[in-house]
Amino acid sequence: MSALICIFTAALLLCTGCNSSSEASIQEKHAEKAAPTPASFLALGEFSLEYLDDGYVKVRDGAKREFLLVPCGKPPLEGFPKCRIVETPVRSVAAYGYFDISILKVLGVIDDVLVGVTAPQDEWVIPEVVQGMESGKIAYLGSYNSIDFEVLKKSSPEMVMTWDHSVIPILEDLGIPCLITSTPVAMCLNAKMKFVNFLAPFFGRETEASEYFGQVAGVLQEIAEKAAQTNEHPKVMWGDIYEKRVLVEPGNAWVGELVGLAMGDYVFDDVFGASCIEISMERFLTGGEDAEILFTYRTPLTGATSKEALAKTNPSMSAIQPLHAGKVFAPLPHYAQSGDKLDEILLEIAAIVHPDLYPDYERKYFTELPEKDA
Amino acid sequence: MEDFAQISKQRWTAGFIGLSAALMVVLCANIFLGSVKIDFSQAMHIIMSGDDASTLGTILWKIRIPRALASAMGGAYLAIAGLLLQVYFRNPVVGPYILGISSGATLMVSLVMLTSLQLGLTQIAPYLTTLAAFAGAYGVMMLVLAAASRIRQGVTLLILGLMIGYLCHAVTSILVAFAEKEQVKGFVLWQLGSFSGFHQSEIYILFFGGGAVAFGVYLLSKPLNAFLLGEEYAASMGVNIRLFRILILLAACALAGMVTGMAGPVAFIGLAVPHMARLVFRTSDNNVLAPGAALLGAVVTGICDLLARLLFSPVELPISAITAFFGAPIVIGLLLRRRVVS
Repeated sequence: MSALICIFTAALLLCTGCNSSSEASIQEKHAEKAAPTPASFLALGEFSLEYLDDGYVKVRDGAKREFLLVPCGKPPLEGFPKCRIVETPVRSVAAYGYFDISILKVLGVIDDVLVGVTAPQDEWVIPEVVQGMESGKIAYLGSYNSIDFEVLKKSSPEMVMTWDHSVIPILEDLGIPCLITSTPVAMCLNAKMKFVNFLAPFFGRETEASEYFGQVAGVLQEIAEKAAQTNEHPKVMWGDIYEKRVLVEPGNAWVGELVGLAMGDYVFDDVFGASCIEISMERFLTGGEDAEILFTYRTPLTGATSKEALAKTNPSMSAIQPLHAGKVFAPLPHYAQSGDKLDEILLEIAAIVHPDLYPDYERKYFTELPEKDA
Repeated sequence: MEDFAQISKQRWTAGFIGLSAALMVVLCANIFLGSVKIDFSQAMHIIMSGDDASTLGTILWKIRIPRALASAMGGAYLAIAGLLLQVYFRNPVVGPYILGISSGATLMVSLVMLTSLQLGLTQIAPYLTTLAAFAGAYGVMMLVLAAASRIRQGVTLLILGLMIGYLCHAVTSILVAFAEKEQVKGFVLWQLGSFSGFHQSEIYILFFGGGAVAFGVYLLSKPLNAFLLGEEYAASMGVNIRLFRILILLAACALAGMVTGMAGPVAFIGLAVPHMARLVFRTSDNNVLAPGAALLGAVVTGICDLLARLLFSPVELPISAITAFFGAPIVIGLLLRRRVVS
């Protein structure tokens, strides 16, 4: 029965994908002789798109603010303040998040539009960003919590994509539209998969977005079909262990949904909230009592070098099964910047949950922690 | 006059009995309630059998009981520290962190947590954060004590404490600006303050170390009362003012530093609870206020910690957010009504 539920869920996502595929037929917005675009609405959690007539698009960002996307050369509609009007296609953008920048790569515009980032050059593994920073085309704007607005202004972005609500006022004063690309609660699987569709209209790349979604949806279907072959439901936990605290991915996050779809049992399915939210240690302890797999965001570079090391971090939590009888997986450094490979990441997580279903799979994004440090 | 004294004693007795009962209730609530449901009978069985090997046993013996005790003792000590400093400075809005204790602890923790990668240390040794917080808190304490032996005016010492706090904060801010994201994340968690994750050894330190200091404070009640009437009066009553000032600061900083070192900054308890105690007991007699504030601090902090755990269970709220909701309105109300008794 649960297998059927998985297949049904995947099919449901594919149906929404079908709707997305139909959106791919929308003409390029910058085409001079584009046919009128039929009105349609797309909701992605807190985000939404509403396609209006004549190529205009009304957008709601993660801060529940409405923007109007105006095709190049056309007049803006009434009712939108200047800082909420974005002429499309956007020709230059500054971005905070790794995932957002990965999506720019998916859309095929990263080389052309990205002009500013909030991580220094030595932290990047995306080739386009590395090369852009070397050439000076992409500027380092300063840390995400201390942006140099002078450098930002000099970079002349037509839009900034960020999670930081506090920069909205100053960016509006500078005349730069600020798009909030995060939400108070963790992104669900549907929103994660289709976030590319949210950004596509800004750059007139609906076709690329639909292709990407189709690719991800195809992998999801594959995962569901393989999951139907097993009756095993390994318990999976996803969280970070600190000295006196524990944080988890809530059940509403995409990881929780994916684990369920892959026929795993996500032990924090009852937790709701933001990504990596703090919960009580006792809840974490009982969740890990019989869990088989622990995913952690803590990388080997920041202390997650072995199961023993994690156990030492918080001895009270050393009793959870993954630390002594199960498996612990930590992301490799390039994981966070691989949002353009979401299909591969989803597949890898599924392969970790059910290695028996993916006997020949070779991991690219996660490393299994050894029992002890070498 | 005798009737008034009798009524006062009855009030104090009732207050102590009531607070003691409330403390027992709060402790029980903190032990029996949590995000994991444990039946009362099951919990009693675990407690009586001393089972700490099973999951539920671990939850009770290694998570809930230490946390309940830590929050109670931590709240008591912060309240005592706040009381001492309010008497010393004759200022109703002085708290245990006014002298830079938490800033010093925060600075040392930031040094440990935010520079470990740059130093090639990918792992922070167990308890190192706690030790660093201790070092920072007591380092600032030593500075304050050294200054107190040379500065007679309380206001000057108060300003000195503030400046030390600002300096520590400045250095911490610089470290944060250059730190890795992962390190900042862990550091921010520490700054929120929490009685989560207390170890048995820390409970012992709180109990014996803090208990000794608290008892010492009680022995200072008479000089404290004399000090309330002015330094000259206290000196005429035989109090060694210079030594007394150092002892007050030593006790306050020791208690605040101990709590901060283990739990991180916990706001408002030390500031608000002494005032609440004065309202409950209707007295400025420190023979009554010191233990009264301790009991009340334990109760209030225990309730706040329980709320932090349960309001959005299993999601935990920062305890300082809860204590602020409790403490800030009380202090504001007291100030507006000018009912502060010092």
